[in-house]
Formats: sequence, C-alpha cells, structure tokens
Amino acid sequence: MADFEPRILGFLCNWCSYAGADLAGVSRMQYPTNLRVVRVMCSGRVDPVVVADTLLKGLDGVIVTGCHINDCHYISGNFHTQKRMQLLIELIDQTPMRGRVRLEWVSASEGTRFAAVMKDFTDTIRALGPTPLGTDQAARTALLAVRDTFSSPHLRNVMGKYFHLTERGTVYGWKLEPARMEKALREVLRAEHARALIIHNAGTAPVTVPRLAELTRIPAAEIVRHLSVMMKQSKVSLAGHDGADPLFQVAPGAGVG
Amino acid sequence: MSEDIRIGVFICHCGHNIGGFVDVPAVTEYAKTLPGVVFATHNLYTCADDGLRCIKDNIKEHNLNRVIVASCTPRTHAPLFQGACQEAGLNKYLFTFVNIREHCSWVHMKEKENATKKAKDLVKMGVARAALLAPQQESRVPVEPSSLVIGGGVAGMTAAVSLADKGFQVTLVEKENELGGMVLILYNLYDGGGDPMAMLKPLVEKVQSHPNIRVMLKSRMTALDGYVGNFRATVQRTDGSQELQLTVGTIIVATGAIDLMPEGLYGYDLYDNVLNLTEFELLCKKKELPKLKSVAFIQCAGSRGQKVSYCSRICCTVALKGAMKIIDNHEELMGRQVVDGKEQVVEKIRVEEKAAEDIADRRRRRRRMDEEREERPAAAAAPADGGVEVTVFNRGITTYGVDHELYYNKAREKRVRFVRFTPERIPVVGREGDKLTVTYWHETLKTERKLQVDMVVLSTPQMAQPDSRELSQMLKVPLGQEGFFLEAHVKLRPVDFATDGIFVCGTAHGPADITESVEQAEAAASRASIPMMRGYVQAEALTSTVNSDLCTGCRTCEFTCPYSAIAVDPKTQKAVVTDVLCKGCGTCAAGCPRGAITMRHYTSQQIEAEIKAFAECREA
Repeated sequence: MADFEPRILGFLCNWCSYAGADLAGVSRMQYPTNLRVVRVMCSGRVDPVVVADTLLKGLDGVIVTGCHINDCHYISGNFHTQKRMQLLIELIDQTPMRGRVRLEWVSASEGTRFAAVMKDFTDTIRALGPTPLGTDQAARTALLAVRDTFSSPHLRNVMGKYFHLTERGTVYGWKLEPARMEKALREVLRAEHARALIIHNAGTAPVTVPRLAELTRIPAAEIVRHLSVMMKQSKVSLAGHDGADPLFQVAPGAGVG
Repeated sequence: MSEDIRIGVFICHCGHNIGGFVDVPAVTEYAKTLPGVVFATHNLYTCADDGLRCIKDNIKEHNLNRVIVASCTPRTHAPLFQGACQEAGLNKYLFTFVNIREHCSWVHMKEKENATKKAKDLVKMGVARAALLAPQQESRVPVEPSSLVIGGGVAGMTAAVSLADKGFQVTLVEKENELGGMVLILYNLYDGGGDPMAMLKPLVEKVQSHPNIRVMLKSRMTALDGYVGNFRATVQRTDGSQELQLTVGTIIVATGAIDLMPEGLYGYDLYDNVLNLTEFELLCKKKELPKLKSVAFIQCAGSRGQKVSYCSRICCTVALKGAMKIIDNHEELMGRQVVDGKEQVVEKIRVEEKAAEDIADRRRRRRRMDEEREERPAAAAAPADGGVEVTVFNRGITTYGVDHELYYNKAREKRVRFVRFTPERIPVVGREGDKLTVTYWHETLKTERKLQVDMVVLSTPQMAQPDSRELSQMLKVPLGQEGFFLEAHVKLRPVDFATDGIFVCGTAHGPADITESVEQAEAAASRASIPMMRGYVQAEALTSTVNSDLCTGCRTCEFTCPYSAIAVDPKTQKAVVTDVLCKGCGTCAAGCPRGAITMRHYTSQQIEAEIKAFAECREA
C-alpha cells in the first residue's frame, strides 16, 4: 500500500476547468502527478454511465469538474451535470466504491483551487487505497448495478426533464414544485436501482423472492413489485417453483454489462 | 472503419519548459510503439516555423491522416497547428492536442519520472482518441437582411428606427391600433419633466414615414418557424381579417409590460379615489384630478413579496414625480364641471362617469360601493399655504440613478412627507364619512396614527404581459420566474436570448424606465444587425446528430438543450438537430435515454477510447 499511486481520471470542461488547470500550470502550482485529463466542451457532456464505466475499467477515482453554477459557457449544462452527478455519487457512496467519484466547480481563474482540489482528491483516493474491484466481487456487482441504473431510459428521461418541468412547466403550463419533482425523481432512482440490483445479484440460476431479498437487502414486497414490472419488460421470467416459492430467472443480457 | 490509420506524433520540448521536466525523447520512443503511430518525433519548439514545417512535411512524406501535437494548451495553440494541418491538406478536425506543459511539466517540476510517465499516458490517450476522429465540415448559413420587431412602444420603435437607418427592412408589429405603448398614458416624464408626446410624436412620425419600416397595427405574430437568418413568421390582424407570411433574419421582442391592478390591496377595489400609479398618470394627462388637499402615495403596493416578488425599480421616482406635480400644478390638473351655472372642481373620481373611461374600462370587473354618494359642495379651502399635503408611505425610497436622488431632495424641499413602514405592518386604507383614511404604524413614535386624505395612489409594479408565455413558446425562448423574458446572460449578454437571432429590449425584459428601454433597444438593434450586416452565420461544425433508428421521440433532449437546437419533429416523431443553433456542448448526448445522440468530435467512442487507453497503462 505504501507505494500505491492512485490512478485518477478527470473530466475537465473546456471553458472553465480546463482553463483553470492551464492557469495552475502557468502559475507553476505543483500538485500530484496522478491525474489524467479528458477534455470535454461542457461538463454536461459527461454521462454518469461513462463515469461508472471508468471505475469498472479499474481506475481508482474519477473527478468531474465544470464551471461554477450560473457561469456555464453553455448556460445550463452544469445544472444537468450537478443533478446527474449528485444522484450518481449518492448511489456510488452506498457501495464499496464510496468516495471515488467527486464533482467540483473550478473556474478559469481558479488555478490555485484546481491544484488544491486535485491534491485533496488524490490524498482521498490514496487513503481509500486501490480500487477493490479486482478482489471484491460484491463491489463489482454493486457498481454494475449503479451503472445500469443510470442507463435506464426511465431515469434518464426524468433526469433530463427535471429543469424543464420545474422551471418551464408541463405542456399544460403547470410548473412542478421542485420538492415534488425531487420526490418523483428519487422514486424512479430507487426503483431503477432496485431492478438493477435484482439483475446483477440474481446470478444465472433461477432464484426465489426471499433469496433475492437477502441478496439485495430490498424488502421482499418491493422485490415482488419490481419483478412484475421486469417480467413485462422481458427482463425476468418465471422458471418453475421451489416448494411454494416461485423461481425467477433473469434473462441473459438484461443488464447492460 | 476500413481506413488505414496513420498517426504522426510531434512532441515539443518547448525549450526547457517541457524538456527540462519531462524526458521528451523517451516519450517520443514510447509514442512510436503505440497502435496506428507511423511517425513520431520531437522538436525544440513545435510552434516555431521549422516545427510547423516539420508537421507539414511529414504529413506529406508519411501520408499521415492523423496528427498529434503534445505540447502546451489547445486553448492558445490549437488554431496554429490546425492551420498547419490544413495547409498540408489534412482536415483540421483530424488533429489532436495533448497538453503536457500546463497539465504536466509545469505542475510536476520536481518529479521527472512521474511527469514522464504521465506524459506517456496522455500521449497514449491522445493516440487512442485520434484513431477515432472523423473529418468535420464548417458551414455557413445566409442571413436575410430584415427584422421583425414585436411591439410598438418606445423600445420597439427605437429598435425599428435604428435597424431601418442601417438599411435593413423592418416589420413592426403592434397589437393595439396606435403606436406608443405605455408612454401614451403618461402625463409627464421625470427626467426634465417634459411632455411625453413631445418625445413620442417625432418617433412615431419617423417610424411611420421611414421607407424601410412597415408598420402593422392591430396585428400579432401567430406562428414562427425557422432559425437565425431564416425565420418564417406568420403575422395576423387581431380581428383575423388578414394574414401575412414574412421571412426575416432576426427578431426583436419589445412587447413591454402592464401595470399591476392591486386588487384586494389598500382598498383599491373598495373606495373611490384609490388609484394605481398608471391610473393616476392617466387622470393627470386628462386633467381630471379631483379636488385635493391631502394625498397619500403607498409604495411597493403589490411588489416585493405582496403579489410579485421583485422591486419594480422605477416606482419610487415615478411616485415622487407624481407628488411634485400635485404640489406644483394641482390647480391646473383638476377636473372641472359646471354645476348650477358655476364651475366647480370635481370632488370625487366617479370611475364609471368620468374621464376616466379608460380607467372604467380597466376596472370593469371591480366591485363598487357607495352607490348613493351625493355630489357635495366644494370642500373647505386648501391648507394655509395653498398647497397640497403629500405623504409617501414607503419601505425605503430608492430613487436609483445619478440624478434621481435630487428628486428626493427636491420632494423634501417641497414638504413631501415620507413615512416608512415594514412589510409586517403595512398601512391600512379605510373610509370615515367622505374622507379616505390611512392608518399606519409610526416607526419612530411607536404609535398607530391616522391620516385623512382625499386620494390614495398605489405605486404598483410593472408586470409581464399576460400573453408572454404564448409568445415565448412560439419563439422558444425562456421566461424568468416572474414571467418577464429572460436574457442569455445577465451581465455579458443582456439583450440576447440564448437562441441565436432573437433579442429583447424594454420592459418585456423587466421593469425599466424610458431611458433604459431606449438604451436596450439601441443595444438590441445593434446586436441584431451583426449577423445581418455580415450576411451569414457560421454554423458550428461540432454539433450533435441523431440516430433516428434509436430515437424514440421522448423529447428529453429537447428539454435539455439550452439553445432549442434539437427538437422532436411532430411528423416523424424523431429528434432533429438544427445545426445552426447547436453550440456543441453535448449535454443532450450525455442525457439521451436511448443513446441515440452522437456528439461530433466528442463521441462516446472517442471518450471511452481515451479512458480505456489510460486504464490499460498499468505498467508501461
């Protein structure tokens, strides 16, 4: 562990954070060498699925940086980034990958801040140690479930319409209260996460509801509700009975990964 | 991709700047081992003439179809290297920049080994990305040299004249049957106190006689299609009698504001002689003020949290203007009538009977009390000094602007009384006999006081036009929280919309006085003339594109795009990108539920290739 050098990927938006990193360079602010940079035009380009995938590829940490709120070069791109990353980080932090994804705002004039943020994140990852994915199957399963949650068209649809519905309103002209919208979004997030957990925990053999409840730590009643939806989506099918308990089989390829 | 990928990598020492802290020859040797790389070299200064020549020569010699420069930052040097590629016949989008100075050598000056490792990784990521790049084309879209101005108030007319004087064809659409807007009902103006008509008439005449302006009264825009340079608008007479199709390059929104009717506040709908600021102006203009000895103005009526959240800015100054004109000119402004052969000053504003037919019209829904009130003989003489006592109830007077503070001083000199109140204890307007009363809490004396007045004027805020929403949907531009049109950036782009080719000015954008409206109108006209003057708009090459086989028409992208550049075609139920409007942020691509959107030059495959390249760098 002593010679552990974290491998960290940073997504930097062209207009603020990349420029902030440039300024850190021009000002010769020294920070650890662990960061590798992917430049995107806007932090809004960063798909939470890609962030999860980056961790799945075996990197130790991912940091997404963008313009400060209200300073986005593309007006509102970072609002979407914020919403997407907030939800992603919430789920990631429920897995053994806790703390390995971070969202930070760094402006073009904040060279010092860029260096400080990168140093701090590198220290955090160094303290967390190498990614557990190689050794901990549970971590991989949990991360796959998070990745699939954010691939869900339903969740992506609700996330994408969040600001439209709270700020501009529905086709009938009513604006949704942010609290109400937030609640609806959380419900979708929870449901999609539960379904992804079912898919990735079920394994290849048929499985009963109580067993799924044990594996996913989701109450059996909820599992049943999700299974009925997933059967309609052809992601799960009925595969006989184990005594009185019906057995469910997850369709091959139901999970994206 | 059957294309044979031939990548050339040029690594820069930047003198000592990179070469001093990164082992550049080692990075070059490493680059040569990477897939697709057919040539790699290092230069002392790649950006110098011989460095650029080296790029051009080697593109030809090695038949390179991808070029990578690993040096400083693309933010300053990308155009230079892209230019070199273009000169050698390579599409500039096949060039990749790898930053090993700002992001590497300069920030890791004491760790040569790790910095070299990082530079290698970054080059590897760049090579992975370069292999997947595709050539892109920039396109130009012609701009029609004509403009549509919506709204014929001072802002709209000013913008129209400004554009027409520059030689552009302007169509000015006004929904009323007269040009002038809000200024038509004003008695005087506060800056210099002039007659508004003296200002308005020449402007109206200029608009009407200008060879480049077509005025359409009693008309409104009913449909809009197209984009900057090529808007197709449908303008219809409000009675539906006529319809006209126009093609214009730009659009200016100058639809103005309306005044708030403070129903339910301060006895506005209960008593005669309680008016809002606009109605008061109208009465002054018609010279039909009642006999006045004492007048109360109540500031912030309906604004700052009562009915709307904002401060309407100009009402403090307008109210002081009103207070002073009562003090100075009330004799002249009073309405008179002949009773029993003698001329008398009107005692009360009988809304339905008087001048104020316009007001009556404005208030036609209003409940009326005091049906049985009689006309009374003229009231007792005015105060000893012959003046009118004016009290301004306020939550802090804000006569903003360089000269307007003088107004406040002047008002004090003229013995206007200022009484402060807090939103927790607002004054209450009531009636005792035939007098209005204002009961208020005196903050200094800590007692409740009562004031008898003849008239109460409520300083109500300017409000967004009720049909703004409809118009904003047609234009696909946003409204703010309070229903006013919302600009692209409050400081940097105050008269632009995020959607190209559409601009806003005047009170459609928020409360403003005439000076500010004119400033904004000139600004909007100036901004609108830029694409029209140039004759074309340069479309961004890096736009998103939709795979219609995957698109389900869910409209998530439509609601995500800040520029209204992507929308679902109602006929095909598939999303379509308007390339001219797309700025290339890629937010739609990162949010598409079906992965149907590709962001050119920042495709998922390109980004994933970079990540994969880094992930594979375990031990190099």
